[in-house]
Formats: sequence, structure tokens, C-alpha cells
Amino acid sequence: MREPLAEEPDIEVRVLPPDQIRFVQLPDQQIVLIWGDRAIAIQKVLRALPISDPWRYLVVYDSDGAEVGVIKDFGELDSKSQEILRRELEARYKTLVIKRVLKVERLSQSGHSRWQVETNEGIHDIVIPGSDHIHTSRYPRIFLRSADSQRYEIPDFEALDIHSRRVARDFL
Amino acid sequence: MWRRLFSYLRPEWHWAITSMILTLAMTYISLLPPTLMQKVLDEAIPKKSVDLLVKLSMALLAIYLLSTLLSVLRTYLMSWLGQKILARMRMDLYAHLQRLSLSFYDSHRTGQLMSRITGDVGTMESFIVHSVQQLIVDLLTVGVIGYFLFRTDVPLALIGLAPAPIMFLMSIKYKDLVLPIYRRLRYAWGDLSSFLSDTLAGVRVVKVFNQEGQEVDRFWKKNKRIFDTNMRHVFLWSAFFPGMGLLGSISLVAIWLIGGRQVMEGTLSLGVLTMITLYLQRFYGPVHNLAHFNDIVQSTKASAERVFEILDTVPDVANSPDAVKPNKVRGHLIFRNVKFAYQDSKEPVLKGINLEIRPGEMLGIVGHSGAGKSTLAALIPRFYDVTDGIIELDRLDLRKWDLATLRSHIGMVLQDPYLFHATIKENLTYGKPDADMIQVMRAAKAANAHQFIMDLPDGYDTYVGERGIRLSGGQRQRISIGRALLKDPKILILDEATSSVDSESEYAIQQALDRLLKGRTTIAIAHRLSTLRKADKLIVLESGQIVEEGTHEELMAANGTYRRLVEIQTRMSESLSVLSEAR
Repeated sequence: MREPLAEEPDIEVRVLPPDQIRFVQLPDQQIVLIWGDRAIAIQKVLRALPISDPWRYLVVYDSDGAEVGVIKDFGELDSKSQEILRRELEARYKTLVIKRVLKVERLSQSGHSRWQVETNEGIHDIVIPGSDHIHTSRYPRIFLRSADSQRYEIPDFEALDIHSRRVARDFL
Repeated sequence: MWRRLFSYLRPEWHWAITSMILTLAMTYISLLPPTLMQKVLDEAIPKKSVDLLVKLSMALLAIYLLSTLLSVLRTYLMSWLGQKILARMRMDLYAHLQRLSLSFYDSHRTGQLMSRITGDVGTMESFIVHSVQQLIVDLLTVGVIGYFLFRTDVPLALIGLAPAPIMFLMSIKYKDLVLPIYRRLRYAWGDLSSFLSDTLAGVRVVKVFNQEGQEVDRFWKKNKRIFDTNMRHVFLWSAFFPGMGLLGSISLVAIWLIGGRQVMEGTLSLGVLTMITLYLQRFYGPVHNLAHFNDIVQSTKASAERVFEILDTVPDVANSPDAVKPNKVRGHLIFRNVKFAYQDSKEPVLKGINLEIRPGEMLGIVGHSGAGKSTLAALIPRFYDVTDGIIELDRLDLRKWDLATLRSHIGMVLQDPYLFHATIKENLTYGKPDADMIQVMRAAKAANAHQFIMDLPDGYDTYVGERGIRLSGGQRQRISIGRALLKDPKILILDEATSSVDSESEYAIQQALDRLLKGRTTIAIAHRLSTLRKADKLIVLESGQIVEEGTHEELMAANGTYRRLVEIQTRMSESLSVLSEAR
């Protein structure tokens, strides 16, 4: 019969029990997961589904980058933990809302385009590196990611003003 | 064919009749204005009756308002009906395409099929909903005008309508000329669609072989074929329809000459002449349409032939009437004297295969290209049925298994894994759409894919691009292993699963595969023989026959083809190591 694997890394998905865990933030901003009698320094928390289900299936990594486990539902955590994680997630997945599209120009045949947009944080000049950085699958809600990894969202493309729609339509 | 085409209207028959009633009412009302005009000219104006003039004008306004209202209702209803029929036709065609066996796809090009689902179905819908209703409107218009004309003045009616029979004969001749052109045109469009889907998908190969110029030339030839065919149609069309128009105009000239003289002689009123002239002008529009309808009929016929050709194709592999759905599957496969030849090929690919794979065993298949390895594997999920002999799963002939049940127990990981243009999560859950996210992540972890997925900015929401183009070959393969793991099949087919990935990916994939094949009956095909050493049994195929069978050690001891292949690969791998060290 077949030989057993020489090396078998951990492939189990650990679901973190919401009633047994809590997050605290130290004065130096380090986030720590308290799980029973263990305190685990946290390096990052990532969303498994940042677009379709951003507040569920949050993957927690320790300071060595190893996966600690998965939070199935953010809403089941205590309010203090929620506050800490919300800050962490909103900083990592910061998404600016595009209110108007002022100008769009094609930069090269590779599909790069330069967008001048008015967001909730003022006017931004961004480069979108190709159509795979523009998600239209939930149209009229549109997601964009710029070359410097900043996320943008148009909550309802059809609700934009005529000029915005006219200049942006050919690039979607 | 026509009855079948109109059967799509049957479920909506009450709406079709409503639409028809609206059409008839609208047509009748729209023919009344010339009669009112005659009354204005012959009664209101000579009698200087303002009262009558106002009444007639109000009647005219009422006719236009009613006609507009009916037109709005009719247009909406017909469009709704058309879209519904179109959607159902496309669904029927696509659902049937999904049922057809692989042998059908072996002999039809993707672009041709796409062109039938989009272009041809659109032509048929347009015919059923719009053209047929227009035909009824035109026939009714011609009938009513004919009746009005003959009722008003028989000699003038005969003069005015004299060209109609000639036009009818011309349109019959036109039909014979135009149908072959339409057929040619539909196939030319299908060919062009097929060419486009092929070359745009393979644009990297085109570029690496520097063949852009040649592809443009090939496109031009196909494009030219469409142009030339269209021009033949345009030639006929441009000669035929103006010719028809001329005939109608000649009759109008005759009416002016003869009717005008009668008005001068006082035997005909100016109002009646005006009414006849107006009706004649309205008469030849529908006649023109009727001739054009013939054109549309021929176009629709060409499209319907192509669509029904697919719908009439019976799948080669289908459920037998007494198909069974066993609840439990052990994964015990037996091949008894299996022979197989592809359709239209006299040369058998498999020539009497006898083989047993016990539940949970791994069979490795080795052999040169064209030896029949992939064909043998393709018979297990019944992509094709054996030409002769029997394949049994758990002592039951595969042909007695319910096809969906059988395939639900089989997983495949191929050399070039096909991912759909969807998110990673959607690709992973393709075989198990109801899997929860924890199961998805577990499968991705076992496939050594979870970490690279989480490193992507959009995680499991990442769109992989067409055929997974935005991922590396190794990443695609790990997603396909995760997909197979999530499906949790009892039988697993690995067809060169690690042969097109780099060494680092190969290790991760091999590790994932080892997890995948635990507890499953596995049929693994590989050129890289090192990946098959764990197999419980190996067979060497040559020209569709098993020439060696045994474990790795037994086959090495037998000193035959297998040993020779292993030695060649060992020497090649040593040479490559020396070369890489020298660098």
C-alpha cells in the first residue's frame, strides 16, 4: 500500500469559539488574542471573503505569520473585541467611495487607465492596472483596486451623474 | 419544422391571441383615414359644411389616438412575448448541449455552437413574434384595401392591382435564389465565431510564433467570404425590391391618367380618385413587405435547420431505462475485454483491456503518447461508452448506472485544469455548491491552496480570469485539487496532474494529491514515472493493449518497457542535474 506522507503540515481549519476568545490592544497598538489561558500576539487579521462577506470568516494570524484560526462571524464577538478588530480591518481594507468620475484616460494597450475621481476623502488620481482590477460582477456596485493597492467603491454606478457615467463606461 | 417553431408560442397562446386582436384592430383603424378624406373632399368642402368638417377632423383625431394606444399595447406585448420565447429557446438549446456526449463536441467547434445559440435563435425569435404578426397585418391590409377598391370602382381597382400577381411570381423565384445564400451566410458566421474564439483564446501562442500577420490573413479570408455572400444577397435584393416598387408605381401612373380623365368628364368624384390613390399607395407597401417576408422566411429556415440539428442530436451516452442509483459506492472497478474506437474511426484505440482495481487501490498507467491511457480513463465516467466488452463498478455494468449518480462519485484532476471565469470560492464549490466556507477552506488547505489564496488582496473573492489565466499553472492545479477534494469522490482520475508545473509547485501538488487520494480508488496517468511509484499496481499500455502489469518492483524486475522508460527518465534527470550544477 501507499507510504504515509513524510511531512504532514497542519491542514485543519480551527474555528475560534466566540464565547472563549477576546481581543485586547496593548498601549503599543499590538493586538493580542486571549483564548482561555493563552495570550497570542496577532500580526494580522484577513478577510477570506472581503467583497462578498466582509464580516464573516476572518482569518487570524499570529506574530510568526502562522494561522491561529477563523472567526466565523464578527457579530458574535464581544463589543470591545469588535471595536479593536473593526479598526484593524477598516485600516487594512480601507475602501474609498467614489462620488464622481472626473476624467479617465487609457494609458497603454495593456489596459492600464488613469482615473481622476472625487472620493469621500477628496480628489484622487489613480492608476488602474487593467480590467482585472475592476470588479463589475455586482453591477451597479463596482469595486476598483489601484496600482498601489488602494480599494475604491462605486456604490451605484447608475446613480452617478451623467458626466461620470459617460467618461467611465468604456472602461468597465 | 414550422410547426415545431410555432410550438414555442403554445404556452403563451392567450397572449399571442391578445396581441393578434390588437394587431387586427390597429390595422383596421389605420385604414379608415382615406375614407374620411373622401368625405371631406366630396361632402364637407362642396357643401361648405364647417360642422361636418369638424366632425370628420375629430373622427380623424380619434382614429390616430386610438391607433397610437393600440400600438403601444401591441409593441409592449409583442416584445415581452418575443423575449420570453427567445429565453426559452436559448435555454432548451443550452440544456440540450449540456446533455450531449463528448463525441458531439469532438466533431463540433465551440464558435459554431455559440453562433447557433445567439445568432440563429435571435433570427427565429424575430420571425415568430415580429415577422408573422407583420405578415398578418400586411395580408389584412391588402385584403381590406382590395375590398375597398373593388367596392368603389371595379375597373380602376383592376388597373391598380394588376401588378400584384406578377409580384407574387417574382417573389417565388426570389425565394429559390436566396435560401442557399442564407444557408451559406449562417455557416460563414459560425465559422468566423469559431475562428475568433479559437485565436483570441490562443493569443499567446499566436504571438510567440509571431503569427499575427497570418491570423489577420486568415480572418480576412473568412471575413471576405461573409462579404462576398452578403454581396450576392445585396445584388438580388437591390434588383428585386426596387423592381417591385416600379411595378406598383406604374399602376399608380395608370390610375392618375385614367381616373383623372374620369374626374374631368364628371364620371368620378375628386374625393373617390384621391381615396383610390391613397389606398393604392398604402397597398404596395404591404405587398413589398410580403415579398420581403419571403426573404425573412428563408433566413429563418436556414437558422431553424441549424438549431434543430442540435436539438435532434441524440446523446451517444444516456441513461438506460433501467438505470439504477446505488446508495453506496465502494469503488471496485473491473474492465472485461474492453475495446473502444472513436466515432468515424475504424482503428480501435483500446484492444481488449482486462483489469481490476480494488476499492481504495491506486492504478498507475504508463505508456507512450497515443497508447490509449487517457481514453481508458475517459471510459470510467462514461464520457464515451465502450465499443465492446464491459466495465463494471461494484459489479454493475457502468451502462446500468444512473449517469448523474455515477459521475457524482468520480473526480478528475487534469494536466491543464479548467477554471471558470468566476471567483476562487465559486470554482472550489463547483461540484458542491452548498459547501459552507469552513469546508471550502478545509479543502483549500488540503490542496495547499489556502495560503496563496489568503495572500491575494481579494482572498476567496478573487476572480481567476478566463480559464484561470490570472493564476499560475501550479495555483490553478491546486484549486482544481481543492475542487475535487470538496466533491469528495470515491473514484479519482489523475491525468498528468503534475506534468505541467514547476518543481516547487510539483511538491506542493504532489503533497495535496497524496491527501486527495487517501481512501479513494485512483487511476493515475503520468509521464513522470517517479510520481507513480506509490501505485499499488502499474500497467504499461502499448497501442491500446496492456503489455506489462505489476508493482514498480515487479516491473523493474521484468526488465521490459517500464524499466526502459524508468532508466531513460533517470538518465535525463541526472543530465539535467549536471547541467544545472555546471551553470
